[in-house]
Amino acid sequence: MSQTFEASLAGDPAEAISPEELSEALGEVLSSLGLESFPIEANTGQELDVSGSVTISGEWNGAVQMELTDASQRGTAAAMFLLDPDVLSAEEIVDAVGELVNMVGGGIKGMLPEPSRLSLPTVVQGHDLHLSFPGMAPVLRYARASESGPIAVTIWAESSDS
Amino acid sequence: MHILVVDDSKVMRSIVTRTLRQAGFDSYDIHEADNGRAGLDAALAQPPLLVLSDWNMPEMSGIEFLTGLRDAGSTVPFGFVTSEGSDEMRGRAESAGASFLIAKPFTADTFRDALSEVLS
Repeated sequence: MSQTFEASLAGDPAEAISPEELSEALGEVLSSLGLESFPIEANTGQELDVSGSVTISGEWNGAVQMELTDASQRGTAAAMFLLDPDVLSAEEIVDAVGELVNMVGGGIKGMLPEPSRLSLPTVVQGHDLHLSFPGMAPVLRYARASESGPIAVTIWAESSDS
Repeated sequence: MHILVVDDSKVMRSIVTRTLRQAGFDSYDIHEADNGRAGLDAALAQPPLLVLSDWNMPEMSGIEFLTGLRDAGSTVPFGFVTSEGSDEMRGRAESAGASFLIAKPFTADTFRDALSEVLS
């Protein structure tokens, strides 16, 4: 997957972005919110019931999708609001997940060719989610574990097959 | 004397407010707005000491908000707090009259460095 992602960055190996670099950037975002985390296998083996995404359009076209478990979305939202997970409303949890994917997507956008535009975040929740982005293909996936559970990120890029 | 925090995300308004306190700017009242248009209305009705605004928002973006303020004759100091800190966006922010752009993630030190001169 990562080779495809690197190739999509104008084919210049010097412009390549490694999964480790992206995972570290995610870790820094989580750490800034008071959540310590560490890298785990991209396929977390857990049911990820929550999906937040932003699209990037312009010089580079694609999407950043973040997936969480119910526990990890609640834990993340609680850390962001500095509140107990049990007192958070569904709206506050969605808001926190949307902001987290916005932060991560903004960071990734900054690594890509400019100019481009970041969309507002979208968050969906449900069992056995299988999202797709028309005209795009997944090119890279990585995950980290936080105290409350896994957080996985998939980067989708405009597909030449579309 | 107040600082106007404008962001469509409730949690980010909360984090910005918390970070202002942590950075030592705890003597100011904080007013909030959840998009650029609401921010523009609020800033013109009751001018703040400083605006801290997100860039990417529904209704009216942060850069449209800043342009609207300047078009209305307001010279209130304006800083962006946004997930995007590219050179292109920093250039656009500066050209439109922003004092600084803070990219997320940020720390209390980041706020102290960026805001101290504006609020001194």
